[in-house]
Amino acid sequence: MSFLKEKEFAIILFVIPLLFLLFNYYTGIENAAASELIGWGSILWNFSMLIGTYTMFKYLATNLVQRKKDSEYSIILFVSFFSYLYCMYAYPAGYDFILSSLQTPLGFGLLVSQFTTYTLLFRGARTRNWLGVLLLISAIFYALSMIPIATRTWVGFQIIGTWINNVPNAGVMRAITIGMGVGLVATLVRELTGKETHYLGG
Amino acid sequence: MSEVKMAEKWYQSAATQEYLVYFSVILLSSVLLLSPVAFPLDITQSTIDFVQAIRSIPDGGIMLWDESNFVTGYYTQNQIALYRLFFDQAKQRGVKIIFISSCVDGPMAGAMINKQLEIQDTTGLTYGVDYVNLGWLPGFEIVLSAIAKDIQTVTSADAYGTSISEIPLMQGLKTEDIDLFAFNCGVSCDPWMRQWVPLHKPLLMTGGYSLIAQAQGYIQAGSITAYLNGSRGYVEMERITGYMTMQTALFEATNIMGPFSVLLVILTNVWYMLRKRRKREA
Repeated sequence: MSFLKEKEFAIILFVIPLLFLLFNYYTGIENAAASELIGWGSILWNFSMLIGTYTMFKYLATNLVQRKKDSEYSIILFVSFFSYLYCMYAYPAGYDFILSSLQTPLGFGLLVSQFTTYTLLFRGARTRNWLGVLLLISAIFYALSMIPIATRTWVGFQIIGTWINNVPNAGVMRAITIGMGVGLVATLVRELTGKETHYLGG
Repeated sequence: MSEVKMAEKWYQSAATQEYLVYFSVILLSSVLLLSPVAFPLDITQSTIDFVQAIRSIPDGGIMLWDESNFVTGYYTQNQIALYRLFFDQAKQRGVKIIFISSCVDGPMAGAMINKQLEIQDTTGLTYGVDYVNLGWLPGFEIVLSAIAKDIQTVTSADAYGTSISEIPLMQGLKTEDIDLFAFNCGVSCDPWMRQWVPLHKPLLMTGGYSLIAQAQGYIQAGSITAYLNGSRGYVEMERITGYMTMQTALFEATNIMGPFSVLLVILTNVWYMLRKRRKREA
C-alpha cells in the first residue's frame, strides 16, 4: 500500500502512457488502444473540473463561515451556480432564459469595459524609455494600418503597418514558437527521466 | 510640512478628465453607429482568399467549423454573416457542415452555435444530413487531437443527444473525408496548428487582431490557408458577400475611435514629457 503513495508510482503512471502514446504516434501500432487512452484523458479533464469546482466551493464556504471581507458575494455565486446547473438538466426553459436574457446581455454589457480601455490609454500609456517609444510607435502604425480612414489619409500607414506585422512581428512570433517547441521537448525529456515532476503538484 | 498644497481646479480632477474621455467616445462612436457613412474599404487578400476557400469546397464536400466565439458575436452579428456564407454553400452546392466547439473557455461557445442555428435560414436543408451540431466538448486540445485522428471518436452523441451512429452525415465519416477545416480562435492558435496542420487540408482561421498577429509565423509558412483579421476581416467578408450586419456599423464607429485612441496616447505622452521637464527645471 505504501508503494502506491510513493512519488515513483505517480511518475510511472505518467511515463508509461506517455511512452505508449509516443510509440503509437510514430508507428501507428495499437491505434484503438491509443484512442481509448486519449478518451481517458478527456474523462480526467472532466474530473479536474470537478475537483476545481469542489476546491472553489470549499474556499468560498470557508470564507463565508469565517465572515471574511466581501464573502457575502459567495452566496450569489452559490445561488447562480446551482440554479444554472438545475435549469441546464431539469428545466430547459429556465436555462434558455438565463442564456438569452441574462448571460448574453451581460456578456454584451461587458463591452462597456472598452471605455476603461480608452481612459487607460489616457492615464497609463506613458513611455519611460526609448524602447517603450519604439513599441508605442509600432503599435500606433499597426493600429492605423487596420483603420480605413487612416490608410485613406496616408498610404504610408498601410505600408509601414503591414511591414511591422509581416517582418519584425512574424520573426519574433516564429522565434517564440520555436522556443516553445524546444522547451516542450526538453520538458518532456525531463519528465520521462523523472527530473520534472511539476504535474504531481507542489 | 511647509509645502502648501494647491487646491485642485475642477478641470484638473481625474474624474472630470475621465468623463470628458467617456463623452468624446460616446459622441464620436454613436454618430457613426447611428448613421454609418460607409467609409471606402480596401479588401485585403487574406479575406478574399478566406471567402474563396469556402466557395471552393468541392460540390457535396464537407467542412468542419470549430466555434470559439461567445454570444457577443451573435449580438454584434459578425458570426451571423459567416454562418450564412456556410449555409449558402450547403444550399447551392450541397456542402455538408459539421459544427463543433472545443472552446477552452466552456460551453458558451456551444450555446453560440445553437443561437446561430436558430436564426439561420436552413430552408431545404435537413439536420443530420446537410449539417450537424456536435456541440461543446470538454478537453480542448484532446478534442482537436481526436478530430485529427478519427472524428468518430470525438463524441458518442450530437449536441441534442442523438447517437452519432443514427446521424446520416456522420455514418462512416472519416477525418480524411473532410475537405476544409476552419476555426474561430479565442486563444493562441498553436493547438490547432499542432493537431490539424498535419492533415494537409485547407485550414481557415478567424480571430482578433492580436491573435492573427501571433499567427503570422504559421500564415507565412502556409499552414493557415486564409484568415479573417479581427473585426475588419469580418467587415471585408460582409462587403464581399453582401451580407451587411451591425458589425459594419460597429466597425465604422471603431474606424473613428482608432485615431482618437492614438491621439489620447500622444497627448498623454506629450503631457508627461512636459511635466517631467518642468519638474527638472524647478
